[in-house]
Amino acid sequence: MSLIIDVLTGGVRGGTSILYAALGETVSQRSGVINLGTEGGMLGGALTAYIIAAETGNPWLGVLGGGIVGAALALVHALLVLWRGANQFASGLMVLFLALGLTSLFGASYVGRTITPFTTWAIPVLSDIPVLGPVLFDQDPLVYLSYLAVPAAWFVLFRTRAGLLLRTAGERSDALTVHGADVRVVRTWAVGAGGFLAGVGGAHLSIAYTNTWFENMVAGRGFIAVALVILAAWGPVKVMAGAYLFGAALALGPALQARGIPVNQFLLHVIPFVLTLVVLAALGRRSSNAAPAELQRVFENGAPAT
Amino acid sequence: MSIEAPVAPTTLPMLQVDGFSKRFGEVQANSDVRFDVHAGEVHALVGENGAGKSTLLKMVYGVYEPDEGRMLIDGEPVALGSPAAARSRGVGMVFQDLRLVPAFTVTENIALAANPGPVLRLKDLAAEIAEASARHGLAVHPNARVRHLSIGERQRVEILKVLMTGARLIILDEPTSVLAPQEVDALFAVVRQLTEAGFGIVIVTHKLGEVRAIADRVTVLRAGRTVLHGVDPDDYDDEQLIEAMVGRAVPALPAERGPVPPSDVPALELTGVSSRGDRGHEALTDISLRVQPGELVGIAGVAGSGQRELCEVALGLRPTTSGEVRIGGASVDSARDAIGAGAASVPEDPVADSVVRRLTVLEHMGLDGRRIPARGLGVDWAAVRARMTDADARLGLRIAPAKRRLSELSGGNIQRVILTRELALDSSLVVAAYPSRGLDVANARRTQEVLLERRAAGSGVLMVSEDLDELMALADRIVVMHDGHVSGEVLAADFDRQAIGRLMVGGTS
Repeated sequence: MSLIIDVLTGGVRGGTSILYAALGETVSQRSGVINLGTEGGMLGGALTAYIIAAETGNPWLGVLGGGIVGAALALVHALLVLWRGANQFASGLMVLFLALGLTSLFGASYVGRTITPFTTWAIPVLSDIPVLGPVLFDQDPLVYLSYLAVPAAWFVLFRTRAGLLLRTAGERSDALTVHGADVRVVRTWAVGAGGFLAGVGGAHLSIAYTNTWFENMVAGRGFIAVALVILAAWGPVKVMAGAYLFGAALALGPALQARGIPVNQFLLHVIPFVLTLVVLAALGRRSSNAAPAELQRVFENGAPAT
Repeated sequence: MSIEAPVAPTTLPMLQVDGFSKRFGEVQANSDVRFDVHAGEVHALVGENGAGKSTLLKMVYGVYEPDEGRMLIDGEPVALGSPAAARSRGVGMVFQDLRLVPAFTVTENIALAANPGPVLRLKDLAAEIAEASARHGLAVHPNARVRHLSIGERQRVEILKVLMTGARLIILDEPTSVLAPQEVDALFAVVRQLTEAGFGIVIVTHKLGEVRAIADRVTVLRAGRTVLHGVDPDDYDDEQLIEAMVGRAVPALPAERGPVPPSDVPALELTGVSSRGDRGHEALTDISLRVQPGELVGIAGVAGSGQRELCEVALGLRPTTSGEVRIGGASVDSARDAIGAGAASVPEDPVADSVVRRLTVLEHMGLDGRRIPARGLGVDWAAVRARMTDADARLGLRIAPAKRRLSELSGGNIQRVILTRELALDSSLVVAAYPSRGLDVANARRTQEVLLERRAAGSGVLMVSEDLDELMALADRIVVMHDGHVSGEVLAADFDRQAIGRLMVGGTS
């Protein structure tokens, strides 16, 4: 029983950074732009949050800074793709390697520094509920914030005019033009907002979950987030479920090891990716039918229609 | 003190265009164009491709700024800088390609145009849509997803959207080009209801039958100029209107033609053919069809009923899941078989299916499926050129110069290259999908004549068209498709628009 609770609790904690990033990628892809640089946005957010938390002692400022750096990296992608007509895949990967290089350079002196991290804060009453209490309500503030971020993202996407314009940019950009909105402007906002969320996801990783910084610490979570968006069929609520599934896959190893059960280290690292492959293979074509129509154009000519 | 005569509001046009001129580089798209619309009337705007209709409408709708001229709405001069400004002045436009988002519901699509606040009021809006749809006789369900609607329903959504944004003047850009005859009747009923309610309607079309059916007045544009300005169509006969559009008389098709010679071996025979579409669904179900040598069979149907797949199956381009295809008695399993058996083809979308954009007109002439004339190890371009010159002289579609790349040509010019190449072949079977699409009246007529010449020369001709009038003028027999099935077959002697229309929507004749 305690193993299950540990895995689930770890799933929520470990999945939250993926959740933020995947939510951001959902916003970006809903507008018709694939951002493979999400991994880089998370790295930038993780280091920035760590530096700010270390220097100021205020983790909230760290989250804000992490979000801003994530947005800035995504806007580099938006600039190249939307305003210079670059290939989306090449540009996204370029942003990733840019972030990897920059964070390795500027993060070197922060390896091993101690910070004031977020701490878990049990919500009275709710955290006493059996199983669900410790899993959902004995967590850090950024986890609680993500509980609000998911319905907020859903509401913005599906119940506001801004969300309608954003989805129109992803479904049929010429329809947007008729209504006086500029596709590139709408997409730039969406990609920037998505990058902000990726940065927050990175911040959760460095100053709420692991409370440490080391080179390339995101370790593929950004790519899992991109895959997650596709298999969650571009829906924020499904993204949440998927993120916790991957979080649980990540938490399984430590939970087993804590109980002295020997498991191959490398096998454990590979579980989330195998899980991604299995789910993608199982869903196959079905999930791609829900894809925003303009994403198809990415494969046709590299650059989105403007 | 002014001593102007009082002007009765009913005589003041809702929209008046005074001498619009617009130049794009070397092309004078509009010069001194006049146009006006009164409340409660349908004004048809007709003209050939490139006559300047869409330039005029885009200036009216605020997409382009005119170089010269002015526009008055309700007698007041206005300068529209954008479509949004046009909409705020009550001018609405229903585009030919319907700018709806298929993945959205009807309500979401209309919210895009008619929801002012930052938060969507989807429930309220759905109620407003239901109310407006009942009031204007435009039946649509607010919560239906647009991807599940027929083209006619989508068009109703567009019209409703335009109405709900407060338009009083509604421009319908070639609204009937995608509709089945019943849907055209329903659309015209809506248009009449709207004009009775005091809306002004502009309808762009190139079908004279529609002008006569619905328009109170007609304006004809040719080469950017107003040839006829707001005249009553009843004062002109068809030949006069066509001459106004084309600039010269276009001879009618010969009405008499020889009977189909009896033959034991059909030019094309499909027996119980089924096939899948690109998305894996069953696009053709148990199609049996025969085209005799010297017979022209027309295929009618609402767009997407399996016409494309039928043509591809007939030409060996798409595998069948069951059944058999024979051309001139020879079994066809591949494009190579079809070409070997003497098939020529004009595809539905030549740019996608038949054109290599970077190659020239001459190089395309070599790619007709026959052996390319060789000289030594290379190509005998002189022979290809001779073949091209001969084909152009015989067909008279005046193709573009041999050295031009296809990527530099307009859609109509590309169509003429493909038509010339394919129809000049001495073929046993011609499969032509929308052969006159994108052509002006004169070239469309010439293409029709060439198809009849192929028929007279003994080819079997299978022709797909969205224009029932064209099919009825040319075909010996019309096979109607609905949802991948053959829903019926009508002989030339029994051609009847309504009966064919019923078959197109899956009914019985």
